[in-house]
Amino acid sequence: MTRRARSAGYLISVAVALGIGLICTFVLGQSFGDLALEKAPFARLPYVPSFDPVEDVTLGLSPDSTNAVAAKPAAAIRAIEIYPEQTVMLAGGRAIRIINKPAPRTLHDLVRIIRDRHWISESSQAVTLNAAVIVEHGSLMTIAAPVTTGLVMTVRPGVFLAASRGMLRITGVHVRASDSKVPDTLSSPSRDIGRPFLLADQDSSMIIRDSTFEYLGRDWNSSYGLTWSKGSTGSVSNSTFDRDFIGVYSNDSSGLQVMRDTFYHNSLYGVDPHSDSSHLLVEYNTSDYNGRHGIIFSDHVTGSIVQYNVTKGNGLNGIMMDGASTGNTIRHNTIADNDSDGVVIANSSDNVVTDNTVSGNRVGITVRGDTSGTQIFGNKITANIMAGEGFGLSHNRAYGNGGDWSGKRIGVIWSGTFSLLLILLGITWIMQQRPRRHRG
Amino acid sequence: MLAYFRPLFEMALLILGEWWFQVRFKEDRSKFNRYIIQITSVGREVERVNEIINEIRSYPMSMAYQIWVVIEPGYSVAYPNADRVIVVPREFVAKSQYKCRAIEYTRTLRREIGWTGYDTKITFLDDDTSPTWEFLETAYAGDYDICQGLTAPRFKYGSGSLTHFLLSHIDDLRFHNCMTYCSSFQGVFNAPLFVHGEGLTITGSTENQVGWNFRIFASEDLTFGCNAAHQGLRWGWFHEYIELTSPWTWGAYFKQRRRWMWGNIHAIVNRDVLPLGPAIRVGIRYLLSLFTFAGSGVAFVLTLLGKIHIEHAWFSLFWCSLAIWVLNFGMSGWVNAGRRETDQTSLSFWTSRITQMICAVVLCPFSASFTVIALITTLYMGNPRAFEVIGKTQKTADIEVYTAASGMEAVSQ
Repeated sequence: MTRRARSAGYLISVAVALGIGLICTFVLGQSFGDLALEKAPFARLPYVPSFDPVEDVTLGLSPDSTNAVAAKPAAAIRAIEIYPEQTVMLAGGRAIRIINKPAPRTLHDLVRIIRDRHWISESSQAVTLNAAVIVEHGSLMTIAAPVTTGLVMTVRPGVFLAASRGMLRITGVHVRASDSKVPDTLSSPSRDIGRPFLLADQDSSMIIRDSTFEYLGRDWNSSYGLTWSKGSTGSVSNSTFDRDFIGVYSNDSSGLQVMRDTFYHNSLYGVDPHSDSSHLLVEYNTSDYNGRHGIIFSDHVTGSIVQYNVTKGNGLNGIMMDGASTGNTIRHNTIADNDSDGVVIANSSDNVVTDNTVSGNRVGITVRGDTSGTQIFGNKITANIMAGEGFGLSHNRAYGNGGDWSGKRIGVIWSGTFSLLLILLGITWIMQQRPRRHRG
Repeated sequence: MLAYFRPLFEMALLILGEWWFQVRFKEDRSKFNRYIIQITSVGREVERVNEIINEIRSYPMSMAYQIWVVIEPGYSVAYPNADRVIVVPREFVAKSQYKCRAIEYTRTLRREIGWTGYDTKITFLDDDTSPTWEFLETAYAGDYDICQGLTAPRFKYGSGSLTHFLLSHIDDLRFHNCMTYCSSFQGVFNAPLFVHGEGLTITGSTENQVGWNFRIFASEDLTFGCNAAHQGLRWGWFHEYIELTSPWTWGAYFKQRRRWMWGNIHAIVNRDVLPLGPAIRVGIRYLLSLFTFAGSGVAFVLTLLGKIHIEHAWFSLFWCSLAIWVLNFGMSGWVNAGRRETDQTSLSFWTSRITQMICAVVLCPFSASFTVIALITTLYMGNPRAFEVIGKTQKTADIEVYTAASGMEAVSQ
């Protein structure tokens, strides 16, 4: 007696073929082939713990000194420290000249009291720095047109402009390195130790308007381009950052405002608020064609607003929230044509992404890791290879994105499925015809 | 990734096993002319065993058959509808202990009366299992040295107390494992990974060749089945149900799993019990279970933390795998709730079936996790070194769990 229907094997074959067809359609039916990045996106030299540049230069240490390897002071490392009542010239960490006069209020004044072209010089309205200039302890320096319209910082170890518990105002100045090289992300720091930069350190204030910054910075602690660090704050507006290592960087800074600036072709990022910075306002900026991200918040950057910015054509993402950067609002930005994703929320919770226009990116908006409390709504997501990943697209307008079902692919899949079905039916038929083994 | 793909892999095995059964399962009733249905019990479940006997008697069986009840000394022999009630003598000596020893005793009886040929079929039942009529017919007709059907915890599935409800759903995996691994590894590959005593059906010649005299206290089914395959005997698997009961208390559940776990470990580590090949095979199965749980758990956490980023196509495939995993539990719930009681209305039956299916799906993370927790817990509890018997009905479950203390006693699973 055999109660089994002979058709059962055929029905199973049909079910298997249909199942495989459905799974393949679900997995492969959408066109995601172009989602793979063409270059290795995250290659970067490891971070090296080191002193901040102000400490290095005032001790006469080479800028590549690290916590692990203490360099010896060298006379070639020179700094001009400006205190309220005196100016000190240091070489190799030793004071070689002390000028007991009230702090010069401008670079033009500084040139006049230093009177040594090997340290600082002026031609027409352009000042050239051959040593670090540090505005210290309550001093205020203003560098502004029409007195100074150009600032050239010589490419040599220990040359930069900084405020340390001081105040720095720059208005209408074209600031650049003396050559036009810019390190890339894999440049050896020791090879690039002479790259100049600007730094507001230790509760300083740095306010910049209507200026241009070119060829500055390298991949080293607080030496990236323009940096607000350790409680410093201020603003930068109507300025241009072109071919710096990073346009604007901050760590442990509160209330910094970055407004109506343009960031082009910087090696790494356009705007990079970092560790424990908070309550920032980043608005009406354009951050295009930078090596990696246009704007990135990373490592506990909180309570900030990113609005009305344009980020286009960056090597990775347009705007990114990373490393527990929480409670930020990203709104009314235009994010287009970046090599990777438009907006990325990675391991950062309670952010609001709303009313942005995201188009022409790899993935429009990506959410990954712990992103609890994140709200994404009211965004216009269009013409990306894939609209979104890691969140629901409801409450957003998503259309014309890739990742839609591909008729061609589905056709191929179901052609294969039909062939598989024929094979399975054939095998079933053969197996049922084949004489079964019997006991000998 | 491997851990995540396991449901897909299991679905492939399941389909292969079922397809093989539909296409290749051999039945030849002309080769058999004698059928023994043997219920092996301690003797405490008189009421339930009589219920099973009466159930079988109510079937329109197409062959001549006998029902044997095998019990320990000292218990009631009131099984009016059984053909033989065999009390295992205290003086019977064998290497095997407890239940296996009782079956070995009945083997000697069959040998004495010459029922050792291929024409004799024997189906072993426990005192908590109800075979369907279709099961018995197919088991009898199956042209294999050894075969078994599909176990499903359908008897009182999900009913009674909350404890039994949860334990029934934890047993959803038993059905799934049988449907997946028994169907393929027994039916197709002739290399069993699981063997269950409930409904194990063998020929007289198989029993005579393999015997039940192993140095074991539990896992006699796995030991017998693996040795049979190792000796070149032919395994068969068929899709008919043998209906069993899930434990009624948490204590009983852990005692049962502990007995299985340590019975299997004893078999795996002793070469006079399990040959090396089957021992490795069964051992790998346990390791794979732990790996799947740990691997998928770690991957889940790493994905949440953003430490691993998965490409969309793989992600879609994982969704498929997850859907299939959930589907498996839904299927278990659907099948396990498929036993219709005589006094049950259609509305009640279908409502219950759909409800239990939904419960199986909802509880699947709990069911799967608890199975692994039980595995680890029973390892921690240590070797019972005895065949601990649990109550098989709501009534007997309330009585203190019996532990066979003497090697002279025959008990059932």
